[in-house]
Amino acid sequence: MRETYVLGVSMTPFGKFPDRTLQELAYGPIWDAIQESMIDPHDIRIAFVGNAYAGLITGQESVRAQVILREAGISRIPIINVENACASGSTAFYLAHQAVASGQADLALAVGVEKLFCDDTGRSLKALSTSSDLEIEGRMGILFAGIYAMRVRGHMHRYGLTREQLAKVAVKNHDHGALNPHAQYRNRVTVEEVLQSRMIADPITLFMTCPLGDGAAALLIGTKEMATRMGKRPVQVGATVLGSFGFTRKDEPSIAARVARAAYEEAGVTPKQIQVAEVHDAVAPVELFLYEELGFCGPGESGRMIDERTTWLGGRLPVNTSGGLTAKGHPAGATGLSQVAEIVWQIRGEAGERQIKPAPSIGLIENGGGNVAGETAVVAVHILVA
Amino acid sequence: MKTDRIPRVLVAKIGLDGHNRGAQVVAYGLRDTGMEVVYTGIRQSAAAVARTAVEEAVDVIGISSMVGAHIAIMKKLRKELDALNASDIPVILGGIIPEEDYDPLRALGVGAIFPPGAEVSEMVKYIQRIVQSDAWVSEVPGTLAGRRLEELHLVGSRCEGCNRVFFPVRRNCPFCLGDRPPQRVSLSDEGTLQTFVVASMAPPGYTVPHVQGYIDLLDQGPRIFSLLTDYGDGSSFRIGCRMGLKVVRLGRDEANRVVVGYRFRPLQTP
Repeated sequence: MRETYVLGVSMTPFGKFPDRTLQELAYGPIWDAIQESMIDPHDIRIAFVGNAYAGLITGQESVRAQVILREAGISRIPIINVENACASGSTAFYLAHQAVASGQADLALAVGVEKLFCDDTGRSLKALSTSSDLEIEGRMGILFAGIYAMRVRGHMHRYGLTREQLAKVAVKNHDHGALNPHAQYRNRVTVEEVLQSRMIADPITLFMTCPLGDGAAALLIGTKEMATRMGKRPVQVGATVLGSFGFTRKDEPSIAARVARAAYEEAGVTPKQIQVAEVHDAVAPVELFLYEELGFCGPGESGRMIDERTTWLGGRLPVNTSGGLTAKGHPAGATGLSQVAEIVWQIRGEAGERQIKPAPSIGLIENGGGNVAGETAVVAVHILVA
Repeated sequence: MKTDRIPRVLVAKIGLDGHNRGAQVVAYGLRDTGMEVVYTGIRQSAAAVARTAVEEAVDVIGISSMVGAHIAIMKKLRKELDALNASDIPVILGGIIPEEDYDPLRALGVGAIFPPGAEVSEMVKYIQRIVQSDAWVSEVPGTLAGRRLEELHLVGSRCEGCNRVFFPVRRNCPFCLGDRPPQRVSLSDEGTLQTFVVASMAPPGYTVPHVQGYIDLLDQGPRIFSLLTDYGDGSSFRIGCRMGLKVVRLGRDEANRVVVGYRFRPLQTP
């Protein structure tokens, strides 16, 4: 396997865009990424397009990728439709990396796009609930805020996390989102406001949840020569690991821990070396046990990490400098690539007001999707290295 | 009348009675209508027939008797079925049965009697009616088992290779991936609450509050994700509290079968 590099990255602001189609949303990021990469677009050899719910929201169930790339003018090459729920974008990234690493292609395009907002919240919720086994757990009515609430409650019970600590994650991510022009929510909130906002699924309150929204992100993966030619700090894919549910027993490591361990091994780094991370905070408090599962701290130590502001901008290991899913937003298929974009920008020193100084050299992305057999159906962990 | 569930019928002859032509005609006839038929052959003991009926989970037992011993063998069969806690399995009788014996036989629990000249189609109708009246289907396939609605319990699969237990029932073991299918096992109907949520939102089609939990079944059973019920104002929920299975009727499907689902409810702690 040869080394692969992230070339141009781009995303739309996340938000509610009822008047823009999937293909309109994806057009800008695709062409921004192409131009930034300083490559000839004719050299793109393969494209992967991640999208989770268009079939249920817009009705475009089949050939979504071809429809989206038709607008962008990308045709003839292999175009692969990628659906892995909220990890669809990360899965497209994984596949684009594999295509280049294996030598199948020198230049691969990864796109993630989603329209989750429609006038009917019930329809959006129903679409999201299909990211489960409809014949089994789906019969119990899957509500992801509820699934996460159960995990958070279990963690509070075991390790004594407090509601204030849960709220602080939302405060941090809103603080970061306020600095990010791509974020759907740019307002700051206080611990009190978070705790006093409407209870969605105890202990999860409204301000801890991510919004429904639309958006797109795109990037190109290529060779070392291409990355060097860009004239920017080269960002190498140190690892990209995709894992699936595993009938995991309670005494076994979770899927996120399992996938992260494999990613550290592939990249040859330890959790201590990670300088910035974007993680899947579909509800803000999930970040806390992700700190533990990703090895940023020991079991039960995540509450202290948020109390000591370790993961705030300015801390030792800033997490979700983009605002995370909580504030930046979570248009499912676009999320994974937007997380990668944030880490690339941080490493290249292009993160604007939320730039970590000095620019970090090693960053991690964790992106999850769906729920099958009692755990996250798919988890992707990528490690990027300057 | 049509049913989606395929009736399982045991056709048996008990005692010293070698006249098996009638039993075979019935067995083939029922089979040809699509039923699953278990035929024991001649000279069985009442105990063996009762045991087979339970092990094969049949919907009905058909006994053939040609030599006048019908009352004696029905008494024995009744005793054996009672001993196996299987007195609810309907029994029907065919063969040379004098009409004056019909009442005592009915008192022994014989549901229907088919004398010489009876058509197989009459038996088919009778059996389908039995199956139909009590037919049920699980909301989630492979989760509940039991012959009667009142006796439903959770089922899962245990892999004989690695001993892991799965819920719901599986066709293979995802760890061993061997060619031996896991064994179907009954699961405990009690467990402890591992975590829970009382949500003020629900996906379309579900009521609010939307209350769910993970229950670790007793005896090292698997962890089950379930809707929770009978929880009052919810204040009785504690992580670690004891929960019990509740089978709920959710209505009937197009084939008029009762749709049943599993829920869990908090049990009073003594």
